[in-house]
This record gives sequence, structure tokens and C-alpha cells, in this order.
Amino acid sequence: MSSPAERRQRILEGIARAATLAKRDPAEIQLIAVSKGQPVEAIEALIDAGQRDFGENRVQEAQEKWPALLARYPDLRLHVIGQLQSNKAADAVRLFDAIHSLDRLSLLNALAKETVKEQRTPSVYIQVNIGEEAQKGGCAIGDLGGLIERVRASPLPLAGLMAIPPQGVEPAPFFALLARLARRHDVTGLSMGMSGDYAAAVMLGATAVRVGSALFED
Amino acid sequence: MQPRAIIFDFDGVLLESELEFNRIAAGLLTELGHPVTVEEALVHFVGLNGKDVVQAIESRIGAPLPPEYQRRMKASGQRVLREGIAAVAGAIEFVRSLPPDLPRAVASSSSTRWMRGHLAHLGIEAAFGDNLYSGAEHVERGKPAPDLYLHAAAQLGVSIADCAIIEDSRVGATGALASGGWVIGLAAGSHCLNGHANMLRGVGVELIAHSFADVARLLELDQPSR
Repeated sequence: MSSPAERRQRILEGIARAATLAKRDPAEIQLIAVSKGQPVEAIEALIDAGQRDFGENRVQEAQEKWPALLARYPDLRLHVIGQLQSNKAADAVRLFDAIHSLDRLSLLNALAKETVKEQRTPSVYIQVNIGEEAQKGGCAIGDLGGLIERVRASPLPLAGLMAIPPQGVEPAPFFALLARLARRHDVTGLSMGMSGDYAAAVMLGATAVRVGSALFED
Repeated sequence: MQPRAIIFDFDGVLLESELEFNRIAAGLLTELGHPVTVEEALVHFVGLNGKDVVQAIESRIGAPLPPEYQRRMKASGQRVLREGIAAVAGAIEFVRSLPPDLPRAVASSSSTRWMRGHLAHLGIEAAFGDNLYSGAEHVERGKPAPDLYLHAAAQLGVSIADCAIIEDSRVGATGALASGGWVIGLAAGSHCLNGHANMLRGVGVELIAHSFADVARLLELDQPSR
């Protein structure tokens, strides 16, 4: 059995190792603990270990868990990483510091409207359908340039690009493709890499990795 | 990543020689009274250096290596050097599609004669010029020492930190990682069985490619058109 603090330390060391190989500063890389489905006690154990960035998949689950935690730990940053419906835009703007799953103009418009109303501006990552999978969320690669322009013209700061590579194939080439798209569009942030592949993602330029099971489970 | 140079391993990366040699070795051992299948040979002998291959074969067949074996393997080596061996899928197109000004080298435990001969068979000899470096000829310590990669990078005039190294074997990947280059573990050759990528991960390779198309994506190169 390892403690949450030990698991977190191990991942930070893995990030640092990969960053060093890539001649990057490990401090550039944000570790986001994906806490979907995790009870408050498990989350608090990680907070005690120094973890500050957390990611949730669903707005509703986050609303149940996080307001109390955020009141107690005001320096936490909360990220939404799952698909977001436009009718949840108001809740998302109120609760989250970063939205990793912006994938369409209608959602951008809904978020932009709410930022004005709520006087709160989360940053956004544009999710790219990097494997060009039919059922998968994310903006089509061909539509990316247009969506980036619209985000840049909106009140929401563009944090970067995000992607979830197809399952069952080597993820690294998709990370490289996302990095290439980011460079092409002069975007610096890259939210990519999860429990099994964050080291490869860091080597290929990730600035935020989203780690769930490797942090919360033995 | 965008490398300033690429260093290729040779056998098993550009050339299907790992498969060819293990096929020959399995056939020869079987003929000499020690039945070994090609698959067994691939599992147990790939990626080993000379002395270790002998040991692996002897432990596999439970007997000293027949005296005839080395002589006939050498003869087979000369024959295939005359006749040629297939390229690893996608290798020729990949090399031909490299930007002309991107420095590249081959760093191999084999001899330069072997590399040059086979590159000529494959029609990509000119792509490498004289940048063919042999662990037996150019450095004192061959793979898994990092020396050969460092030598190749120095000859190309590029810092090893800016070089991508494409390797398929445990021994090669170990040396490549130690050199400080960007290591891509290639599991594209026909000798790569299930588990090859995990074997490479086990020695510390983070970036795995299952094809040269994957390599092109990892290196942010435009892919060869087919």
C-alpha cells in the first residue's frame, strides 16, 4: 500500500524525469488530479499532500463535492475535463478555473455570455478530436483554426489545446500531432497525457497532465 | 519534437535483417540437430551482441554451439549481403521523404561494409553519404555504451540533445538513452513480436512507434505520400 502523498511524489518525479529528458523545466508542467468518482476524504488526503489542481468530468458531481472544499482551501484550482453541455455553461463558469473541453462555437458563446454575467473568466483549452474518431468529442482538426480565432476574440483566455488519443493504440504520435497543431497556431498550452502515458506527453510538450488512477489508486 | 538530426540504428530499423538472421539461425540449428523455430529464435536471440548470442543459443539447445555454426552463419551473411534483404516497412519512403537539409546518420553494431552494401540494395545509399558509423570500427565501446551515438552526433555537428535516435533493440535503446538523445523505440520490423514495445518501455523508452508513419508524427515531419 502506498499513501496518496507517495503516489503523488512518484508522479511528480516521473514528470520531472521526462521533462529533464526533453530539456524542459518541470515547473512548467501542471499535475491535475482527476478526482471524478473519488470521495472527499481521498481528495483531502491529496490536498494535504500539497496537490492544488483537480479535475472533474461532470459539472453535477463537481457541484456536490467542491463548493465546501473550495471554501476551506481557497487556493485550489478546479478544472473540468469532461464533455460540457451548453446548458451547464453558467454552472461551469461559476465553479471552474479552467475548462479543458471547449469543442464548439455554441459552447464558447454560452460560456462567454456567462462570464459577463458572473464576472468570472475561466481559461479554456480547445479539445481537439486528434484521432478523427466519429463518436468522440472534440473539434475537428480542420475546424481548429477558426475556433482558435473565435476564442481569441472572446473574453475567455485561451489556455491551450487538449486531446484524448484513441484507445488501444500508441498515444505518443497523437501527442506529437497536437503539439504540432499548437505550434502551427501559436498556442502554448497542451493538456495531454493521463495515468499511463503522462511521461510521453511531457516529453512531447504537455503543460498539463490529467492523472486519476495513478494518484488515487494503488 | 523537432530534431536537428536523426540517428538510425540499422538492423531491425531500416533492414529486416533481424528476421532474416534468426530465420537462417533457426534453420541451421535445426539442420545441425537442435530444432529451434524462427519464433523461438526471435524471442531469445534478438538484440543480443555476439558473445551473448552464443550463450543464449547454447542455453537454448542445451549443448555447446556446433563448430560448423559460426562458419555457416558467416557464409550466409556474405550471401545475403550479395543478394540483399528487404527494408523494414516504410523505411525507404521515410528516408527519402526527409528534408534534404536534415542531417542523418546510421549507427550500427554491424560493419560499414554491411551497411553500405544493404543501403545500396535498398537504393538509399546516397541519403546517408559517409555518415555510417560502426560500433566495431568507429568507437572502442560499442552498444550498449552510448559512445557510438555520441560519435555520430559529433560527426554530424549536432548536439546529441538535439538528435532523435531510432532504435529497436534492448541493447541499442539502452545505449541511446544513456547518450542523452531523444530515443524513439521502433517496433515496426517483422522481428517485433507482441511485447516488443513493452520490452522497450522496460529499459526506459517513453516514445514508442509502431510504424515509420508514427515516427514521422513523433518528429513532426511531413509523412511520406503513398
